Amino acid sequence: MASYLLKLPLSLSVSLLLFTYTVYLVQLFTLGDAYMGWLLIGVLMSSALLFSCAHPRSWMSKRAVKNTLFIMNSLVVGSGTYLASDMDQMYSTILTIIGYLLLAGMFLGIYQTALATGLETNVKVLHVLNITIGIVLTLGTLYFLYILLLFSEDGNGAIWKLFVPLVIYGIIYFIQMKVLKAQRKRIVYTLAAIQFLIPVELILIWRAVAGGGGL
Amino acid sequence: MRKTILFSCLIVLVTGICLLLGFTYNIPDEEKQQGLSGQFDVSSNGNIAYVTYEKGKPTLHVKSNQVKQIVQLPSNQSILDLAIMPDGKSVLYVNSDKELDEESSSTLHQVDIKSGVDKIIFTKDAIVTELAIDPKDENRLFYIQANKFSNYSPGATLYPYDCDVYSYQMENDKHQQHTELNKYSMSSLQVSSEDDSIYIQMDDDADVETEENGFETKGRVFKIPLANPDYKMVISIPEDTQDLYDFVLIPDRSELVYQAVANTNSAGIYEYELFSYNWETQSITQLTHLHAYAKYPIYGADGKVYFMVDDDFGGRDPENSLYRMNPDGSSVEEVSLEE
Repeated sequence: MASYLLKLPLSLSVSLLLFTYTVYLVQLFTLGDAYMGWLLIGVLMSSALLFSCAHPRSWMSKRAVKNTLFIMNSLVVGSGTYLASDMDQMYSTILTIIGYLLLAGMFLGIYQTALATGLETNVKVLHVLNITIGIVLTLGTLYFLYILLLFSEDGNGAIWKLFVPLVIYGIIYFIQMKVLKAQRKRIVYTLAAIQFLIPVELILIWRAVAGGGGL
Repeated sequence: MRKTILFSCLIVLVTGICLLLGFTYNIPDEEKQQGLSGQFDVSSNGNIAYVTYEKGKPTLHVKSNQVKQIVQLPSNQSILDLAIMPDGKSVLYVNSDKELDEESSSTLHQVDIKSGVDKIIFTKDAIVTELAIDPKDENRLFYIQANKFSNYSPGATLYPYDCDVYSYQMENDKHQQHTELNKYSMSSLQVSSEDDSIYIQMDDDADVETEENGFETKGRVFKIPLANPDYKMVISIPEDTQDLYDFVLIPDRSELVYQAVANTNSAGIYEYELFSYNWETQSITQLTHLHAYAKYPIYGADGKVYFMVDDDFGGRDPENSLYRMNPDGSSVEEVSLEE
Protein backbone atom coordinates (compact mmCIF):
# COMPACT_ATOMS: atom_id res chain seq x y z
CA MET A 1 0.00 0.00 0.00
CA ALA A 2 2.69 2.44 1.01
CA SER A 3 4.73 1.83 -2.12
CA TYR A 4 1.58 2.18 -4.19
CA LEU A 5 0.82 5.54 -2.60
CA LEU A 6 4.36 6.68 -3.29
CA LYS A 7 3.81 6.01 -6.95
CA LEU A 8 0.54 7.96 -7.12
CA PRO A 9 2.08 11.38 -7.77
CA LEU A 10 4.57 9.88 -10.19
CA SER A 11 1.95 8.15 -12.32
CA LEU A 12 -0.31 11.20 -11.99
CA SER A 13 2.27 13.55 -13.43
CA VAL A 14 3.03 11.20 -16.32
CA SER A 15 -0.69 10.82 -17.12
CA LEU A 16 -1.09 14.57 -16.89
CA LEU A 17 1.71 15.04 -19.40
CA LEU A 18 0.00 12.62 -21.79
CA PHE A 19 -3.38 14.29 -21.15
CA THR A 20 -1.92 17.70 -22.04
CA TYR A 21 -0.47 16.40 -25.31
CA THR A 22 -3.69 14.57 -26.21
CA VAL A 23 -6.00 17.53 -25.58
CA TYR A 24 -3.68 19.81 -27.53
CA LEU A 25 -3.36 17.47 -30.52
CA VAL A 26 -7.08 16.61 -30.70
CA GLN A 27 -7.95 20.32 -30.56
CA LEU A 28 -5.42 21.01 -33.30
CA PHE A 29 -6.46 18.27 -35.69
CA THR A 30 -10.23 18.26 -35.21
CA LEU A 31 -10.88 21.97 -34.67
CA GLY A 32 -7.77 23.66 -36.04
CA ASP A 33 -6.96 25.51 -32.82
CA ALA A 34 -3.37 25.42 -31.56
CA TYR A 35 -3.39 26.29 -27.85
CA MET A 36 0.39 26.63 -27.66
CA GLY A 37 0.50 28.75 -24.52
CA TRP A 38 -1.69 26.27 -22.69
CA LEU A 39 0.47 23.38 -23.93
CA LEU A 40 3.65 25.03 -22.68
CA ILE A 41 2.19 25.82 -19.26
CA GLY A 42 0.74 22.31 -19.00
CA VAL A 43 3.99 20.60 -19.96
CA LEU A 44 6.00 22.84 -17.66
CA MET A 45 3.71 22.20 -14.69
CA SER A 46 3.46 18.44 -15.15
CA SER A 47 7.21 18.13 -15.74
CA ALA A 48 7.87 20.09 -12.55
CA LEU A 49 5.54 17.75 -10.66
CA LEU A 50 7.25 14.76 -12.24
CA PHE A 51 10.64 16.10 -11.20
CA SER A 52 9.51 16.85 -7.66
CA CYS A 53 8.13 13.30 -7.29
CA ALA A 54 11.14 11.60 -8.84
CA HIS A 55 13.63 13.48 -6.66
CA PRO A 56 12.36 13.27 -3.09
CA ARG A 57 15.42 15.00 -1.69
CA SER A 58 15.38 18.08 -3.92
CA TRP A 59 13.92 21.40 -2.70
CA MET A 60 11.16 20.91 -5.23
CA SER A 61 9.70 18.03 -3.26
CA LYS A 62 9.13 20.14 -0.17
CA ARG A 63 5.54 19.87 0.93
CA ALA A 64 4.61 23.45 0.16
CA VAL A 65 6.19 23.37 -3.30
CA LYS A 66 4.69 20.03 -4.12
CA ASN A 67 1.19 21.07 -3.11
CA THR A 68 1.51 24.32 -5.03
CA LEU A 69 2.41 22.21 -8.05
CA PHE A 70 -0.62 20.00 -7.43
CA ILE A 71 -2.87 23.06 -7.34
CA MET A 72 -1.34 24.51 -10.50
CA ASN A 73 -1.73 21.15 -12.23
CA SER A 74 -5.36 20.92 -11.13
CA LEU A 75 -5.94 24.22 -12.91
CA VAL A 76 -4.24 22.79 -16.02
CA VAL A 77 -6.48 19.71 -15.91
CA GLY A 78 -9.54 21.86 -15.30
CA SER A 79 -8.81 24.11 -18.27
CA GLY A 80 -7.96 21.03 -20.38
CA THR A 81 -11.34 19.52 -19.56
CA TYR A 82 -12.96 22.82 -20.50
CA LEU A 83 -11.11 22.80 -23.84
CA ALA A 84 -12.31 19.24 -24.40
CA SER A 85 -15.95 20.29 -24.04
CA ASP A 86 -15.75 22.02 -27.43
CA MET A 87 -14.75 18.87 -29.27
CA ASP A 88 -16.81 16.21 -31.01
CA GLN A 89 -19.00 14.14 -28.72
CA MET A 90 -16.72 11.09 -28.57
CA TYR A 91 -13.46 12.93 -27.81
CA SER A 92 -15.16 15.28 -25.42
CA THR A 93 -16.72 12.44 -23.40
CA ILE A 94 -13.52 10.41 -23.13
CA LEU A 95 -11.31 13.39 -22.31
CA THR A 96 -13.80 14.77 -19.80
CA ILE A 97 -13.88 11.47 -17.91
CA ILE A 98 -10.08 11.30 -17.91
CA GLY A 99 -9.97 14.94 -16.83
CA TYR A 100 -12.24 14.29 -13.84
CA LEU A 101 -10.24 11.22 -12.82
CA LEU A 102 -7.02 13.23 -12.98
CA LEU A 103 -8.62 16.00 -10.96
CA ALA A 104 -9.66 13.48 -8.31
CA GLY A 105 -6.09 12.17 -8.35
CA MET A 106 -4.72 15.69 -7.83
CA PHE A 107 -6.96 16.21 -4.80
CA LEU A 108 -5.82 12.87 -3.37
CA GLY A 109 -2.26 13.95 -4.01
CA ILE A 110 -2.80 17.17 -2.07
CA TYR A 111 -4.17 15.26 0.97
CA GLN A 112 -1.36 12.71 0.71
CA THR A 113 1.37 15.34 0.61
CA ALA A 114 -0.11 17.25 3.52
CA LEU A 115 -0.49 14.16 5.68
CA ALA A 116 2.78 12.53 4.68
CA THR A 117 5.18 12.29 7.57
CA GLY A 118 4.57 11.55 11.23
CA LEU A 119 2.22 14.38 12.15
CA GLU A 120 0.04 14.28 15.25
CA THR A 121 -3.51 13.14 14.67
CA ASN A 122 -5.10 16.47 15.54
CA VAL A 123 -2.78 18.27 13.13
CA LYS A 124 -3.75 15.80 10.41
CA VAL A 125 -7.43 16.45 11.09
CA LEU A 126 -6.80 20.19 10.81
CA HIS A 127 -5.07 19.74 7.47
CA VAL A 128 -7.85 17.55 6.07
CA LEU A 129 -10.42 20.06 7.21
CA ASN A 130 -8.61 23.02 5.68
CA ILE A 131 -7.85 21.27 2.41
CA THR A 132 -11.45 20.15 2.00
CA ILE A 133 -12.76 23.65 2.59
CA GLY A 134 -10.06 24.95 0.24
CA ILE A 135 -11.14 22.64 -2.58
CA VAL A 136 -14.81 23.51 -2.15
CA LEU A 137 -13.96 27.20 -2.02
CA THR A 138 -11.76 27.10 -5.13
CA LEU A 139 -14.32 25.17 -7.16
CA GLY A 140 -17.05 27.55 -6.01
CA THR A 141 -15.03 30.66 -6.84
CA LEU A 142 -14.16 29.36 -10.32
CA TYR A 143 -17.77 28.37 -10.96
CA PHE A 144 -19.13 31.79 -10.00
CA LEU A 145 -16.39 33.47 -12.01
CA TYR A 146 -17.34 31.40 -15.05
CA ILE A 147 -21.02 32.27 -14.76
CA LEU A 148 -20.26 35.93 -14.24
CA LEU A 149 -18.00 36.11 -17.29
CA LEU A 150 -20.53 34.17 -19.34
CA PHE A 151 -23.57 36.26 -18.56
CA SER A 152 -22.51 39.69 -17.39
CA GLU A 153 -23.14 42.34 -20.00
CA ASP A 154 -20.12 44.58 -20.20
CA GLY A 155 -17.56 43.42 -17.70
CA ASN A 156 -18.12 43.65 -13.98
CA GLY A 157 -15.82 45.81 -11.92
CA ALA A 158 -16.73 43.95 -8.73
CA ILE A 159 -15.31 40.66 -9.99
CA TRP A 160 -12.23 40.84 -7.73
CA LYS A 161 -14.51 40.57 -4.69
CA LEU A 162 -15.14 36.94 -5.55
CA PHE A 163 -11.53 36.18 -4.65
CA VAL A 164 -11.74 37.75 -1.20
CA PRO A 165 -12.94 34.55 0.57
CA LEU A 166 -10.10 32.55 -0.99
CA VAL A 167 -7.53 35.05 0.24
CA ILE A 168 -9.02 35.15 3.76
CA TYR A 169 -9.06 31.36 3.75
CA GLY A 170 -5.37 31.28 2.84
CA ILE A 171 -4.47 33.75 5.59
CA ILE A 172 -6.44 31.82 8.23
CA TYR A 173 -4.84 28.52 7.15
CA PHE A 174 -1.40 30.13 7.40
CA ILE A 175 -2.06 31.62 10.85
CA GLN A 176 -3.41 28.29 12.10
CA MET A 177 -0.19 26.51 11.21
CA LYS A 178 1.95 29.25 12.76
CA VAL A 179 -0.08 29.28 15.99
CA LEU A 180 -0.04 25.48 16.10
CA LYS A 181 3.73 25.60 16.41
CA ALA A 182 3.30 27.93 19.36
CA GLN A 183 0.94 25.38 20.95
CA ARG A 184 -1.98 27.81 21.34
CA LYS A 185 -4.69 25.21 20.76
CA ARG A 186 -7.72 27.32 21.60
CA ILE A 187 -6.90 29.94 18.94
CA VAL A 188 -6.27 27.18 16.41
CA TYR A 189 -9.67 25.59 16.93
CA THR A 190 -11.47 28.93 16.90
CA LEU A 191 -9.81 29.70 13.58
CA ALA A 192 -10.77 26.26 12.27
CA ALA A 193 -14.38 26.97 13.15
CA ILE A 194 -14.23 30.33 11.36
CA GLN A 195 -12.88 28.52 8.33
CA PHE A 196 -16.24 26.78 7.96
CA LEU A 197 -17.93 30.13 7.47
CA ILE A 198 -15.80 31.14 4.49
CA PRO A 199 -17.85 29.27 1.84
CA VAL A 200 -20.95 30.99 3.24
CA GLU A 201 -19.15 34.29 2.82
CA LEU A 202 -18.42 33.41 -0.80
CA ILE A 203 -22.11 32.81 -1.47
CA LEU A 204 -23.05 36.10 0.21
CA ILE A 205 -20.48 37.99 -1.85
CA TRP A 206 -21.71 36.24 -4.99
CA ARG A 207 -25.24 37.41 -4.29
CA ALA A 208 -24.07 40.95 -3.78
CA VAL A 209 -21.91 40.96 -6.91
CA ALA A 210 -24.46 39.35 -9.19
CA GLY A 211 -27.11 41.64 -7.82
CA GLY A 212 -30.24 40.73 -5.90
CA GLY A 213 -29.89 37.01 -5.32
CA GLY A 214 -28.49 35.33 -8.39
CA LEU A 215 -28.73 37.00 -11.75
CA MET B 1 20.54 11.94 -13.03
CA ARG B 2 21.02 10.43 -16.47
CA LYS B 3 17.41 9.31 -16.39
CA THR B 4 16.25 12.84 -15.64
CA ILE B 5 18.23 14.31 -18.50
CA LEU B 6 16.92 11.63 -20.84
CA PHE B 7 13.36 12.27 -19.76
CA SER B 8 13.72 16.04 -20.05
CA CYS B 9 15.11 15.65 -23.57
CA LEU B 10 12.14 13.46 -24.47
CA ILE B 11 9.65 16.02 -23.11
CA VAL B 12 11.37 18.89 -24.89
CA LEU B 13 11.41 16.90 -28.12
CA VAL B 14 7.72 15.91 -27.98
CA THR B 15 6.68 19.44 -26.99
CA GLY B 16 8.76 20.84 -29.82
CA ILE B 17 7.06 18.53 -32.31
CA CYS B 18 3.65 19.54 -30.94
CA LEU B 19 4.47 23.24 -31.33
CA LEU B 20 5.73 22.63 -34.87
CA LEU B 21 2.50 20.80 -35.71
CA GLY B 22 0.63 23.70 -34.14
CA PHE B 23 2.29 26.23 -36.43
CA THR B 24 1.60 24.03 -39.46
CA TYR B 25 -1.97 22.94 -38.81
CA ASN B 26 -3.42 25.86 -36.90
CA ILE B 27 -6.30 27.34 -38.88
CA PRO B 28 -7.03 31.04 -38.27
CA ASP B 29 -10.60 31.61 -37.08
CA GLU B 30 -11.67 33.44 -40.20
CA GLU B 31 -10.62 30.51 -42.41
CA LYS B 32 -12.60 27.89 -40.52
CA GLN B 33 -15.98 28.33 -42.17
CA GLN B 34 -16.81 25.80 -44.81
CA GLY B 35 -19.95 24.99 -46.78
CA LEU B 36 -23.19 26.84 -47.43
CA SER B 37 -23.55 30.13 -45.57
CA GLY B 38 -27.36 30.05 -45.79
CA GLN B 39 -27.90 33.07 -48.07
CA PHE B 40 -29.55 32.20 -51.38
CA ASP B 41 -32.07 33.39 -53.94
CA VAL B 42 -34.07 31.73 -56.70
CA SER B 43 -34.69 33.57 -59.96
CA SER B 44 -37.80 33.48 -62.11
CA ASN B 45 -36.09 31.12 -64.56
CA GLY B 46 -35.15 28.72 -61.79
CA ASN B 47 -31.50 29.67 -61.35
CA ILE B 48 -30.23 29.49 -57.80
CA ALA B 49 -27.67 31.94 -56.47
CA TYR B 50 -26.02 30.92 -53.21
CA VAL B 51 -23.02 31.59 -51.01
CA THR B 52 -20.55 29.03 -49.74
CA TYR B 53 -17.45 29.41 -47.63
CA GLU B 54 -14.31 27.85 -49.04
CA LYS B 55 -11.71 27.87 -46.26
CA GLY B 56 -13.48 30.94 -44.92
CA LYS B 57 -13.63 32.75 -48.27
CA PRO B 58 -17.21 33.76 -49.09
CA THR B 59 -17.93 32.56 -52.61
CA LEU B 60 -20.98 33.40 -54.70
CA HIS B 61 -22.21 30.73 -57.11
CA VAL B 62 -25.08 30.58 -59.55
CA LYS B 63 -26.54 27.24 -60.50
CA SER B 64 -28.39 27.04 -63.80
CA ASN B 65 -27.55 24.02 -65.94
CA GLN B 66 -24.12 24.06 -64.47
CA VAL B 67 -22.66 25.66 -61.37
CA LYS B 68 -20.67 28.81 -61.95
CA GLN B 69 -18.52 30.61 -59.42
CA ILE B 70 -19.18 34.31 -59.82
CA VAL B 71 -17.37 36.02 -56.95
CA GLN B 72 -14.87 35.06 -54.29
CA LEU B 73 -13.99 37.50 -51.51
CA PRO B 74 -11.08 37.37 -49.04
CA SER B 75 -11.61 35.36 -45.86
CA ASN B 76 -11.99 38.45 -43.66
CA GLN B 77 -15.14 39.41 -45.58
CA SER B 78 -18.67 38.08 -45.53
CA ILE B 79 -21.66 38.24 -47.83
CA LEU B 80 -24.67 39.34 -45.80
CA ASP B 81 -27.40 38.92 -48.40
CA LEU B 82 -27.97 38.58 -52.11
CA ALA B 83 -30.77 38.98 -54.63
CA ILE B 84 -31.03 37.98 -58.27
CA MET B 85 -32.19 40.84 -60.50
CA PRO B 86 -35.61 40.15 -62.08
CA ASP B 87 -34.06 39.86 -65.55
CA GLY B 88 -31.93 37.01 -64.20
CA LYS B 89 -28.76 38.44 -65.71
CA SER B 90 -27.04 39.83 -62.65
CA VAL B 91 -26.91 39.34 -58.91
CA LEU B 92 -26.86 41.99 -56.22
CA TYR B 93 -24.95 41.20 -53.07
CA VAL B 94 -23.92 43.13 -50.01
CA ASN B 95 -20.64 42.47 -48.26
CA SER B 96 -19.01 43.61 -45.04
CA ASP B 97 -16.31 42.55 -42.60
CA LYS B 98 -16.63 39.07 -41.15
CA GLU B 99 -15.76 40.44 -37.70
CA LEU B 100 -18.05 43.44 -37.46
CA ASP B 101 -16.97 46.50 -35.51
CA GLU B 102 -18.03 50.12 -35.20
CA GLU B 103 -15.98 51.04 -38.25
CA SER B 104 -17.52 48.36 -40.46
CA SER B 105 -19.30 49.50 -43.58
CA SER B 106 -21.35 47.59 -46.14
CA THR B 107 -20.94 47.67 -49.88
CA LEU B 108 -23.59 46.74 -52.41
CA HIS B 109 -22.28 45.10 -55.56
CA GLN B 110 -23.91 44.14 -58.81
CA VAL B 111 -22.22 41.30 -60.62
CA ASP B 112 -23.02 40.13 -64.12
CA ILE B 113 -23.55 36.38 -64.18
CA LYS B 114 -22.24 35.84 -67.69
CA SER B 115 -19.16 38.05 -67.70
CA GLY B 116 -18.46 38.13 -63.98
CA VAL B 117 -18.00 41.91 -64.12
CA ASP B 118 -18.51 43.29 -60.62
CA LYS B 119 -19.46 46.91 -60.02
CA ILE B 120 -20.01 48.72 -56.74
CA ILE B 121 -23.41 50.38 -56.45
CA PHE B 122 -23.05 52.06 -53.07
CA THR B 123 -21.22 51.91 -49.75
CA LYS B 124 -22.80 52.77 -46.40
CA ASP B 125 -21.24 53.33 -43.01
CA ALA B 126 -23.62 50.88 -41.37
CA ILE B 127 -24.55 47.26 -41.75
CA VAL B 128 -27.00 46.34 -44.49
CA THR B 129 -28.44 43.04 -43.35
CA GLU B 130 -31.00 42.29 -46.04
CA LEU B 131 -31.88 43.17 -49.63
CA ALA B 132 -35.16 42.99 -51.52
CA ILE B 133 -35.87 44.19 -55.04
CA ASP B 134 -39.20 45.89 -55.66
CA PRO B 135 -41.21 43.58 -57.95
CA LYS B 136 -43.06 46.62 -59.31
CA ASP B 137 -39.91 48.56 -60.20
CA GLU B 138 -36.69 46.68 -60.68
CA ASN B 139 -34.65 49.82 -60.27
CA ARG B 140 -35.83 50.23 -56.71
CA LEU B 141 -34.13 48.26 -54.02
CA PHE B 142 -35.18 47.98 -50.38
CA TYR B 143 -32.81 47.12 -47.59
CA ILE B 144 -32.60 46.78 -43.82
CA GLN B 145 -29.87 48.83 -42.24
CA ALA B 146 -28.55 48.36 -38.71
CA ASN B 147 -26.94 51.45 -37.26
CA LYS B 148 -25.51 50.33 -33.93
CA PHE B 149 -23.73 47.43 -32.36
CA SER B 150 -23.82 45.60 -29.10
CA ASN B 151 -22.06 42.56 -27.79
CA TYR B 152 -23.80 40.05 -25.59
CA SER B 153 -20.82 39.40 -23.37
CA PRO B 154 -17.18 40.50 -23.30
CA GLY B 155 -15.23 38.84 -26.07
CA ALA B 156 -18.31 37.94 -28.09
CA THR B 157 -18.64 39.31 -31.58
CA LEU B 158 -20.57 42.50 -32.11
CA TYR B 159 -24.14 42.17 -33.12
CA PRO B 160 -25.81 44.83 -35.27
CA TYR B 161 -29.06 46.34 -34.07
CA ASP B 162 -31.13 49.51 -34.37
CA CYS B 163 -32.68 48.43 -37.65
CA ASP B 164 -34.78 50.38 -40.11
CA VAL B 165 -35.98 49.97 -43.67
CA TYR B 166 -34.47 52.07 -46.43
CA SER B 167 -34.76 52.11 -50.18
CA TYR B 168 -32.45 53.02 -53.01
CA GLN B 169 -33.27 54.21 -56.50
CA MET B 170 -30.65 52.97 -58.91
CA GLU B 171 -31.47 55.52 -61.60
CA ASN B 172 -30.86 58.64 -59.56
CA ASP B 173 -28.66 57.17 -56.81
CA LYS B 174 -31.06 58.26 -54.07
CA HIS B 175 -31.45 56.66 -50.63
CA GLN B 176 -34.62 57.07 -48.62
CA GLN B 177 -35.37 56.04 -45.05
CA HIS B 178 -38.88 54.62 -44.67
CA THR B 179 -39.22 53.63 -41.03
CA GLU B 180 -38.00 55.18 -37.80
CA LEU B 181 -38.47 52.24 -35.50
CA ASN B 182 -34.88 51.58 -34.31
CA LYS B 183 -35.77 47.93 -33.90
CA TYR B 184 -33.48 45.47 -32.17
CA SER B 185 -34.04 43.09 -35.03
CA MET B 186 -35.83 42.98 -38.36
CA SER B 187 -35.84 40.21 -40.89
CA SER B 188 -37.45 38.69 -43.97
CA LEU B 189 -37.94 42.01 -45.74
CA GLN B 190 -40.37 41.66 -48.64
CA VAL B 191 -41.88 44.14 -51.02
CA SER B 192 -45.53 43.86 -52.00
CA SER B 193 -46.16 43.25 -55.68
CA GLU B 194 -49.59 44.87 -55.49
CA ASP B 195 -49.49 48.06 -53.47
CA ASP B 196 -46.80 50.40 -52.25
CA SER B 197 -45.98 48.61 -49.03
CA ILE B 198 -43.45 46.27 -47.49
CA TYR B 199 -43.67 43.26 -45.21
CA ILE B 200 -41.24 42.62 -42.41
CA GLN B 201 -40.73 40.42 -39.37
CA MET B 202 -40.08 42.12 -36.04
CA ASP B 203 -41.17 42.09 -32.43
CA ASP B 204 -44.68 43.24 -31.73
CA ASP B 205 -44.00 45.57 -28.81
CA ALA B 206 -46.87 48.01 -29.21
CA ASP B 207 -48.20 47.24 -25.74
CA VAL B 208 -44.84 47.15 -24.03
CA GLU B 209 -43.94 50.19 -22.04
CA THR B 210 -41.13 49.18 -19.76
CA GLU B 211 -37.96 47.37 -20.53
CA GLU B 212 -38.80 44.56 -18.13
CA ASN B 213 -41.69 43.49 -20.28
CA GLY B 214 -39.36 43.14 -23.24
CA PHE B 215 -39.45 39.38 -22.98
CA GLU B 216 -43.17 39.28 -23.45
CA THR B 217 -43.07 40.61 -26.99
CA LYS B 218 -43.86 38.28 -29.82
CA GLY B 219 -42.25 37.98 -33.22
CA ARG B 220 -44.85 38.91 -35.82
CA VAL B 221 -45.16 39.85 -39.48
CA PHE B 222 -45.96 43.48 -40.23
CA LYS B 223 -47.26 45.25 -43.27
CA ILE B 224 -45.98 48.81 -43.55
CA PRO B 225 -47.53 51.16 -46.14
CA LEU B 226 -44.72 53.32 -47.48
CA ALA B 227 -46.92 56.36 -47.85
CA ASN B 228 -47.71 56.26 -44.16
CA PRO B 229 -45.18 54.12 -42.26
CA ASP B 230 -46.80 54.90 -38.89
CA TYR B 231 -49.85 52.88 -39.90
CA LYS B 232 -48.06 49.62 -39.73
CA MET B 233 -50.21 46.63 -39.00
CA VAL B 234 -49.73 43.08 -37.87
CA ILE B 235 -50.63 40.47 -40.43
CA SER B 236 -53.45 38.68 -38.71
CA ILE B 237 -52.64 35.40 -37.05
CA PRO B 238 -54.33 33.85 -34.02
CA GLU B 239 -53.30 35.76 -30.89
CA ASP B 240 -51.92 32.76 -29.03
CA THR B 241 -49.57 31.69 -31.81
CA GLN B 242 -45.97 31.53 -30.65
CA ASP B 243 -43.17 33.72 -31.99
CA LEU B 244 -42.70 33.52 -35.70
CA TYR B 245 -39.47 34.47 -37.41
CA ASP B 246 -38.55 34.14 -41.10
CA PHE B 247 -41.52 34.12 -43.41
CA VAL B 248 -42.69 34.33 -46.98
CA LEU B 249 -46.11 35.37 -48.27
CA ILE B 250 -47.86 33.31 -50.91
CA PRO B 251 -50.70 35.63 -51.95
CA ASP B 252 -52.20 33.31 -54.60
CA ARG B 253 -52.84 30.72 -51.88
CA SER B 254 -53.72 33.32 -49.19
CA GLU B 255 -50.97 31.83 -47.11
CA LEU B 256 -48.12 32.86 -44.91
CA VAL B 257 -45.27 30.35 -44.62
CA TYR B 258 -43.29 31.02 -41.48
CA GLN B 259 -40.57 29.67 -39.24
CA ALA B 260 -41.32 28.87 -35.61
CA VAL B 261 -40.18 26.61 -32.81
CA ALA B 262 -41.88 23.23 -33.02
CA ASN B 263 -40.06 21.15 -30.45
CA THR B 264 -37.06 20.76 -28.22
CA ASN B 265 -34.66 17.94 -29.00
CA SER B 266 -33.06 15.59 -26.48
CA ALA B 267 -30.12 17.96 -25.99
CA GLY B 268 -32.49 20.81 -25.08
CA ILE B 269 -32.01 22.64 -28.37
CA TYR B 270 -35.02 24.14 -30.15
CA GLU B 271 -36.13 22.60 -33.41
CA TYR B 272 -37.37 25.17 -35.90
CA GLU B 273 -39.81 24.02 -38.54
CA LEU B 274 -41.82 25.75 -41.24
CA PHE B 275 -45.56 26.28 -40.78
CA SER B 276 -48.22 27.80 -42.94
CA TYR B 277 -51.14 29.96 -41.94
CA ASN B 278 -54.07 30.37 -44.28
CA TRP B 279 -55.89 33.59 -43.53
CA GLU B 280 -59.07 32.51 -45.28
CA THR B 281 -59.58 29.27 -43.41
CA GLN B 282 -57.53 30.60 -40.44
CA SER B 283 -55.81 27.26 -40.11
CA ILE B 284 -52.21 26.54 -39.20
CA THR B 285 -50.37 23.56 -40.69
CA GLN B 286 -46.93 22.30 -39.82
CA LEU B 287 -45.16 21.81 -43.15
CA THR B 288 -41.77 20.32 -42.25
CA HIS B 289 -40.73 17.64 -39.78
CA LEU B 290 -36.98 17.75 -40.25
CA HIS B 291 -36.02 18.10 -36.56
CA ALA B 292 -33.40 20.71 -37.40
CA TYR B 293 -33.35 24.46 -38.05
CA ALA B 294 -35.41 25.27 -41.13
CA LYS B 295 -35.01 28.91 -42.18
CA TYR B 296 -35.18 31.54 -44.94
CA PRO B 297 -38.23 30.37 -46.92
CA ILE B 298 -38.45 31.80 -50.45
CA TYR B 299 -41.34 31.33 -52.87
CA GLY B 300 -39.95 30.26 -56.24
CA ALA B 301 -41.45 31.03 -59.64
CA ASP B 302 -42.00 27.28 -60.06
CA GLY B 303 -44.55 27.38 -57.22
CA LYS B 304 -42.26 25.68 -54.71
CA VAL B 305 -41.05 26.92 -51.36
CA TYR B 306 -37.24 26.89 -51.12
CA PHE B 307 -35.60 27.00 -47.72
CA MET B 308 -32.36 26.28 -45.88
CA VAL B 309 -31.95 23.63 -43.21
CA ASP B 310 -29.19 23.71 -40.62
CA ASP B 311 -28.59 20.23 -39.27
CA ASP B 312 -26.23 21.35 -36.53
CA PHE B 313 -28.11 24.26 -34.99
CA GLY B 314 -26.64 25.13 -31.63
CA GLY B 315 -23.43 23.41 -32.64
CA ARG B 316 -20.11 24.96 -33.48
CA ASP B 317 -20.60 25.47 -37.20
CA PRO B 318 -23.83 25.44 -39.18
CA GLU B 319 -24.38 22.58 -41.59
CA ASN B 320 -26.71 24.11 -44.13
CA SER B 321 -28.41 22.42 -47.05
CA LEU B 322 -31.02 23.71 -49.48
CA TYR B 323 -34.47 22.13 -49.60
CA ARG B 324 -37.68 22.69 -51.49
CA MET B 325 -41.27 21.54 -51.11
CA ASN B 326 -44.78 22.25 -52.28
CA PRO B 327 -46.49 25.02 -50.30
CA ASP B 328 -48.76 22.41 -48.69
CA GLY B 329 -45.73 20.66 -47.20
CA SER B 330 -45.68 17.71 -49.60
CA SER B 331 -42.65 16.32 -51.45
CA VAL B 332 -39.93 17.82 -49.29
CA GLU B 333 -36.62 17.22 -51.06
CA GLU B 334 -33.05 18.37 -50.83
CA VAL B 335 -31.87 20.47 -53.77
CA SER B 336 -28.51 19.35 -55.03
CA LEU B 337 -26.14 22.23 -55.63
CA GLU B 338 -23.75 20.11 -57.60
CA GLU B 339 -23.69 19.78 -61.35
